Amino acid sequence: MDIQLEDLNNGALCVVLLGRLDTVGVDRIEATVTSAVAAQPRDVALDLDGVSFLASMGVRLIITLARSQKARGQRLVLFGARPGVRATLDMVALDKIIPLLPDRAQALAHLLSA
Amino acid sequence: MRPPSPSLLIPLTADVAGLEIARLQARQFLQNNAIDEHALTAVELVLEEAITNIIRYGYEGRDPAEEPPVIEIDLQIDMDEVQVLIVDDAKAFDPLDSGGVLLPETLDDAQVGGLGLLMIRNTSSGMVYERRDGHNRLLLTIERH
Repeated sequence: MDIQLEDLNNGALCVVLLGRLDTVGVDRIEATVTSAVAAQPRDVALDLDGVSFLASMGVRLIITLARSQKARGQRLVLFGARPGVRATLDMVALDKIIPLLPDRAQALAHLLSA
Repeated sequence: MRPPSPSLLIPLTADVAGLEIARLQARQFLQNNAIDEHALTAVELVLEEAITNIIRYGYEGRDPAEEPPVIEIDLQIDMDEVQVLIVDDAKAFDPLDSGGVLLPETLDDAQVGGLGLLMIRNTSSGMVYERRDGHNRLLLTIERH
């Protein structure tokens, strides 16, 4: 599991997640992701295109990040989930409580529209 | 007479490293037996969720130096299904007996506990639990197609 941090041109932070978002993967990246998101109050987009597997530990991480964003008055959106990852997001109804967009352009448009 | 079903017994240590090694062994075995990626991912998911629960909660209050945990995975490939048997000597825990998770309507009421069990239930076509001789035995059935 690896991450990359990128600035979107609206000032939001894009966190690109790469690999398996399971217990091993979350252990590896959780501290880095949490501190990157907490570094300054701004909207965050999680790029899931490079996530090959999503388990409950990964879902917990996403929920925790979304809650901390909300507490700071900022937003979290997800985009790029592949079919297997999308199926897991649907299974736990995460798509009902956190905006899930097909790709980066639509995630950016969503953040700009509100 | 049908040939015997391919099977693999994987003993693992009760920690995250043990889970990862076991997952890779299971993946190799399933790939070698032409299990498709969809079923393979389903087996990985139930192993991840069930064994994470055992490691995190099953051995609370027990000194591993005095009484080392014993966890085993037994995979068996049948004609239409993969049978995943997980045996451990942790505290008794019947996943069929635990309450269901309510799916969230808002971020505030999203539960982070119990998601793993929800995933196991939704991914398996069969779940059988038994407590026998001080061991939990959880048999999960994953459809091959």
